[in-house]
This record gives sequence, structure tokens and C-alpha cells, in this order.
Amino acid sequence: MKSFSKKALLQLALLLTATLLLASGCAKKPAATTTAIPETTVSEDMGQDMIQTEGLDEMDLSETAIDESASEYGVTTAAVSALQNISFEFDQYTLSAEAQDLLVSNAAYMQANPELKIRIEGYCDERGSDEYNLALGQRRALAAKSFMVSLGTDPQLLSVISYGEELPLDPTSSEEAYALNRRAEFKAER
Amino acid sequence: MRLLALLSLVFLLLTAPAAADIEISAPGQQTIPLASTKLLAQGMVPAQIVNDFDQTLNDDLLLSGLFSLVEPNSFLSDARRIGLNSSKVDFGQWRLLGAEGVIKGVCRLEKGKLVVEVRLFDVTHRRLLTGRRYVGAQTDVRRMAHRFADQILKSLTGEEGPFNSRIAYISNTSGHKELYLIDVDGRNGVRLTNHRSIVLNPDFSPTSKELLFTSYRAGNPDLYRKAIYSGQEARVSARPGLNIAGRFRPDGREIALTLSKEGNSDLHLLGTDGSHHRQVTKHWSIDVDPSWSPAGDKLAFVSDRQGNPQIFIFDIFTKQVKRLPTAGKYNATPAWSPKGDRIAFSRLEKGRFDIFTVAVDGSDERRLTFGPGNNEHPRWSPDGRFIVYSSDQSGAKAIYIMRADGSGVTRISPAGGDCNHPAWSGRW
Amino acid sequence: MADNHFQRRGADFHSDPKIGWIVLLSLILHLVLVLVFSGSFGHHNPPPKRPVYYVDLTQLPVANPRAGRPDGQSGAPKAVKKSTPAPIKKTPPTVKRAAPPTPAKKAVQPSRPTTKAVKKTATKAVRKAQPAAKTTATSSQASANNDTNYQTAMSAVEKMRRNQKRAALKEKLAALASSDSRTGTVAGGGSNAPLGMPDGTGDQAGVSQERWLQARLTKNWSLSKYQVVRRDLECRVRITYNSAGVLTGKEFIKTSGDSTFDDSVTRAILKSRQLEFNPGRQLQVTVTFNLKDLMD
Repeated sequence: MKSFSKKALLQLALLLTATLLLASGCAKKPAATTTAIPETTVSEDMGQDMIQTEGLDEMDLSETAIDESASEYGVTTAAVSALQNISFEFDQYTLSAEAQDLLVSNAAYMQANPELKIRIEGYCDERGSDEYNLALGQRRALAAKSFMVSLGTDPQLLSVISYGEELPLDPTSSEEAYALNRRAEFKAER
Repeated sequence: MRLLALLSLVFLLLTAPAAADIEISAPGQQTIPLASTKLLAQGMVPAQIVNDFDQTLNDDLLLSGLFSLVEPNSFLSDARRIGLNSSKVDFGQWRLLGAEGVIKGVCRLEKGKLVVEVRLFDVTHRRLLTGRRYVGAQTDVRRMAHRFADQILKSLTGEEGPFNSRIAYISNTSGHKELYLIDVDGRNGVRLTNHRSIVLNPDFSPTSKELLFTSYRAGNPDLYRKAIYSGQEARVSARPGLNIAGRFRPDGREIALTLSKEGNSDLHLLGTDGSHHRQVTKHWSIDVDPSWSPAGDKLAFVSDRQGNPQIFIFDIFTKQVKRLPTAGKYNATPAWSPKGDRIAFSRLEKGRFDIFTVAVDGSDERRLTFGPGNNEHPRWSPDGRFIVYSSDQSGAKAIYIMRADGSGVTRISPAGGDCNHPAWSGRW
Repeated sequence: MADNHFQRRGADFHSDPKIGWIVLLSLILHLVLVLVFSGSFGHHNPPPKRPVYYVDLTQLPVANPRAGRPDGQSGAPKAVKKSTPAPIKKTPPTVKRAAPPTPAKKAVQPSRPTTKAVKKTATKAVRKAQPAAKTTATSSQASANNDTNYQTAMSAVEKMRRNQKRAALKEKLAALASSDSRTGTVAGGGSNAPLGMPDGTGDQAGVSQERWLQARLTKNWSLSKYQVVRRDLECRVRITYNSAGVLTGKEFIKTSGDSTFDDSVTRAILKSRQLEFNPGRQLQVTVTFNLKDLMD
């Protein structure tokens, strides 16, 4: 008697669980199967995502297209001891009085040596965004160039390039290093 | 009469069966407990393959922040039983361990090719969630694991993961700044350039396996593009002055970049062959660092037109320029999220950069990094779940990734080399 | 009769104003009837509340938990407690953790122990007693298969173990606190604090079934914040258990609109297809799931 009622209850519970599962399955996917354990096939969605190994073994990249003999920075330049670096304030490209004096003497040197072609290189300290500093270095070099042109230097003899915060004179992180790195350099092109 | 209506209402309310009300205002478990079993080898398969798959998959799953992994030592007999059909999985065992999902798979070698079949089951509903078969070289096992991790994320969130993608960055390990490529987990690193000069600022083509970058190789910061697999390389723009910060438009058809050919740095649009399409900004200020909106109709960029570097948004069609209203005196390197809703950027404050994100209208600013050191150059993963960036938090510059909320910071670049300028590819 | 009134109200309402008053009277009478039968009557004439001495975390939930009582009447309730040994209990598995100990009773009722060793034996006794009582209770009821039965038992045992631990800790804490405040009484332990469910109105010791279900569903519910984009999601589900504790209904009254969210809720509910206790009645609750606590 006792076992019988137990059995009946068990059946009832099973029935209820089944209906429940059914109901819950229907909420999500109308095509849910009717058994307590949905989905009965093995094939499922296998084999739909075959990796095409395309490219995977091509990973040993060929670098043959690269000209290995390329020189360091393309253009050969040489420092001219008589031409002095000028420095700038943080995030500035205006020329200080001191910088203007130096540019005057640089311009005078160039007039004395008309065969010299000079490249003005603009640099920044490491603070700030790299891309912004590239533009800022360009500004600094251009500021120096236009000042020298206003002093009578032939603009044809002056070119500019920016290295941004690359190639610092002092790679450490100190105010002194930053001040040293915020500069424009004058190099003779060959 | 109103009284009457009111009373009848009260009557109705009182006679209605009163179901108790419960509010649950946060899930008790904020990660999904997953049981990740190792692949079972069918025949002779090197143990290394099984371990590589297991490690790669689990690292990806943990990095996602979505999951907690059930301790493998607690696994019961079902973990050692091949049974890839949901009717053969003993879900009771997994439920007992508290797992909500279980990953089971097999691997075998067929004619030298590695075949991996792996499936994710839903323990609660006792059904298959996703299943994949991968066929490839034995060396592709990590890639298969990344792919399956992406698949798991897709089946549980509706959006594929970013693990099957690459990250490009600049390193001077060789003594020169060159372009490198690594997997999202920092493995499989390769060097792509040998310019022996200065290479900067990579950006992935959204539509093909190509990279843009700037190099001083020819004596000027020029823009190059390089096909990753063929190694073919071409100089796209070598105009006098700067040719920097090139960014593919999301449709892959145009490149935004900064040129300074007339002395001033402005944004321009070029064709992918380098032909000049149009000038975007024309302002005495410095305009750099463009970042496309995912629709390709707007450009976020950095300009000092208001005094200090700040982020502005240019509308390609209306040609309106609007400031992205953010705090701070020095904001740079904007990166538009792939969903288009937020912009990540770095802010210089007290001499240090940290990474922030902000809604495109300037609201809801969130700071993601809190030092130490500089945290710069944020770029989004293709699904917007992660941000890659460069940081010198542990001394030398290195590449890190973190979740878009700033959690889960993981270093991915190898030691040394002043790694910098990361860029995240699209799905590979 | 009521039907008649309603029918007639529609027809004669405007012509005969008196009918309105009759209907009103009828309504009031009905109301009183409903109040009396629904038990809300108790609100008007609350019966003398039985004192509650402890929060019994080891007991299974009950349909009508009793209320808590303000602290500070440690003398009187003790007397009451002794005279009326146990409140009416419908759920079988209750092992009482007694209030202030009278040494003689120690053997029978594991009382709030004074030493660690005693505490251990006490909790062990409870631990042993409870699952035994429970399993017999549930197996005689409905458990569908051995598998679920085993799991249910396992998780119940685990839960009880945890609760035991928590209770022990709580007791320790309370003991510490009381030894600070009441310098004189040695027996001033946690069980002296007369507590019950804050909103309890019944007469049974234990947590309310709704509270229990809330805690269980919270524990069941796993959802990562990275799975959902928005945090303002909310869904409402009506959940029904029959008197044997079997889930018989799960109906979304309001979906959140986010399938991942709703799916996680479904999982949480389905994890408790069978309750670890017998509600002894149909248990229907409307549960609101949201992420309010995750909003920043």
C-alpha cells in the first residue's frame, strides 16, 4: 500500500517534470523536442566550421621584398659643429629670444658657407602623444626655418624633418633630459 | 457611487490570489561556472597538443571575465569518458560540481592532419550549445582553441569573441623600431619589417590582411602598406613632411592620415593607392591621430586649435567639427569603439598618461587605468570587449590588454624592446 | 445571491438608488467574510505573539514564520518557553537549538554551548539528525529519480553544513557582543536574542519559504556583467511549486527583452526543479530579476 502510493506520486512527479520541461523548452525554441532530454542526434552542427588552414602555414613571412641594404635613415647627414641646437618649452614651438640669437648666428654661418644644404630636425621630449609630437617637431623645425628665411637664408637650402619623440639626446625621464630633448638640430645634407 | 466603485475594487483586490513578490537585484554568481575538460585522444596524439589546446582555451575563457573554471581535480568519471552526444554526457556529475556548462572534446590525427572535435554542453538544460570540428596542421592547435573560445562566447552572449585575431605593435628588440605581429595571448610573435630605421603607428586593414604604418626608411616619415602573408610592401604616401597616423576607413577603401605638405599638419583622405582624395581639416593648428567611427562617417582626431591637444569630431558629410567635451588639459590618441558608442583615449595628467573611455557625446567618462607609469595608445578589440594599449607600468614599455572596464590587465608582449603602438586586427 | 445582486445592479442601478446601498452592504459583508477567512483578520486582533528566541538557520523554511520580538525581555520569555515547549510545526525536520540552557536539558536539546567542544558535538548532532529526517520525508513524497534525490540530498546536506557554520559563527559573535554589553550574565548568548522573521505573522519557527526561495534563486542565478550590454534589464517570472515542492509552473510575466538575461533566469529557476523541503501547500511567487545591485 505504502509502496503503491509512493509509485503513484513518483509517476505524478515525472509527469509534472515532463510538462514543465516542455513548457520551458517552448519558451525558447518552438521546435523543442518532447522528451525530458532535448536534442537526440549526434551530428548537430558539427563540421560546419572547418578551419581553412589558408595562410596558417604561410606564417614564415618572406622578407625578401625588403631592401636589406637600406641605410639607417635614408638620407645621410652630418653634424656641423658651428650650427647650434635651439631648444623649446613644453608643447611650444615659439622661438625664445635665446633661440632667435642662435638662429641669427646659424643663418650667418650659412651665408658664409653658401654651398651648405641644411636639414633642420625637430624633436620633442617623451611626454605627449607620439603622433602629436611628430607634428609638434615638424612645427619646431618649420619655425626655425621660417625665422632663418626671414633673415635672408635661401629657403632652397633648408629642408625640415620631424622625429617627434624618437631619437632623444637623453633617454632618461627627468626635467633636464626633457629640456635637452625639446630641440631643433641642424645637419648638413650630403 | 465612487465609494461603491472603490469598494468593489478593494473587494476584487482582496479576493485575488495573492502571490508573494520577491526581488532579486543581482545574480548570486557573477561568472558562469564552466567545466573545461581536456581533449581525449583517439589514437596516438602528442600530449603537447592536448595541453596546448587546454591551456589556450582556458586562458581565453578566463581573460574574457565571463567564466570561472571548475577545478579540474574535482572532475568525476565523465571527464574521462568520450561522449559527445548530450544523451551520453552524465550531466548529474557536472551539476554536482556546480558547472553550468561543460566542454568536452576529442582529437585525433588523420593523415598527419589534426582533427579536433569539441563541444559545449548546457548542464542545466542538458543539451548541446555549440559544437565544432577543426581540421588543420598540428601547429594550428592554438588557433583552433582560440576559435572555439570565440565560439563559446558567441553561444553564451550572442557575440563572437576576439581571440582569433592578431595584434601588431612596434618594438626595437632588433635595435631598430620594427613592426611585429602576435596573437592575442602573446604567442606566435613574428617580425614583419626590416627597415632598420624607425617604423611607427601600425593600423590593420579591416577587409584584408594588410597593415599601414609610417617608416623613416627613405629619410622622411612616409606611409607604407604591407600585405601580411605575401610580405609585399608598397609606399603609399611620400609627400614632403609628415605622412603619419594612417587609418583605414572601415570599408577599407580610403585612408585618413596627417600630412604636412603645406607646412601645417592637417588631416587628409587618400585612396588606398595613395592618390589624394581630399583635405579634411584646414586649420593653422596641429591635427593628428584620426580614428574612424565604425560607420565611416565621422573622424575623431586630436587638435590643439583651442590651445592644448584635445579630441574633436569631424563629420565627413557635414564637415562640421565639434569638440568632444572632456575634462583634462591634454587628451590624445582617440580610438572609436567598434560599436560606435564610446571613444577611448589617453589623457596626460601630472606628467603621466592614463586611459579613459567616454560616450561619443562626452558624457559618462570612465577612467580605466590608474598608473603606475604611462598608459597610452588604446585600441579596441574587434568585438569591443577589450582594449590593447602600451604601458611602462613595470618599467620598460610593453603591450597590455584589459577588458573595456579596465579589469583583467594582462601583458602580452615579450620582455624587452620598448613595445609600443599596438593595433588590433579584425577577426582573422 | 451575490450573482443576483450584480445582475440587478446593472439593470436597476439608476432607477432605484436604494439598491446601491444594499449592494454596498453586501459588499461590506463580503469583505468582512473575506478578511476573516483570509486570516487578515489577525491584523485587527493580533493574538498574543509567541516569543521567538533565535533565528533558526538550520531549519527548513516554513509557511508561516513567526515574528521577531524586540530585545530585552529575556526573563519572561524563558518562562513562557519552558511552559510551552514547542510551537506548532508542520514541517517534520526540525531540530531545535534551544534558548538559554538549563543544564539538565543539554542531552536532549543541543543548547547554546559554552565551550567549543560542546558546540561541536551539538552541531554534529543536528547535522546528523536533519538529513536523516529530511531524506525520509522527501523520499516518502515525490522525488522523481534516484539521481535527483541523491543530488538534492547532497546539496541539502551541503547547505545545512554551511548554515551550521554560519549559525555557529553568529552565535560566537553574539556571545562576544553580549559579554561586552551585559557584564553580569554568563548565559547571555545569541540565543537570548529573541528574533524571528521581521515580517513574520505566523507561529512557526524558521525562515519563510519565500525568503528561502529568494536566497536559493539568487545563488542559482549566474550571469556575468560581460554577457549583457545594459544594466537596466528586468524580468518578472511567476514560479509555482506544488505542495511536494516540485516546480510546476514558470511563466514570464514580463521579459527583459534580452534573451541572454532571460535565459540565465530560466537556468536559475530550472536549477531548483525540486525544492529541498515540502512547502505543504502550493507555493506561488512572483520573482523580479534585475541588476540593480550591479549598476554603477
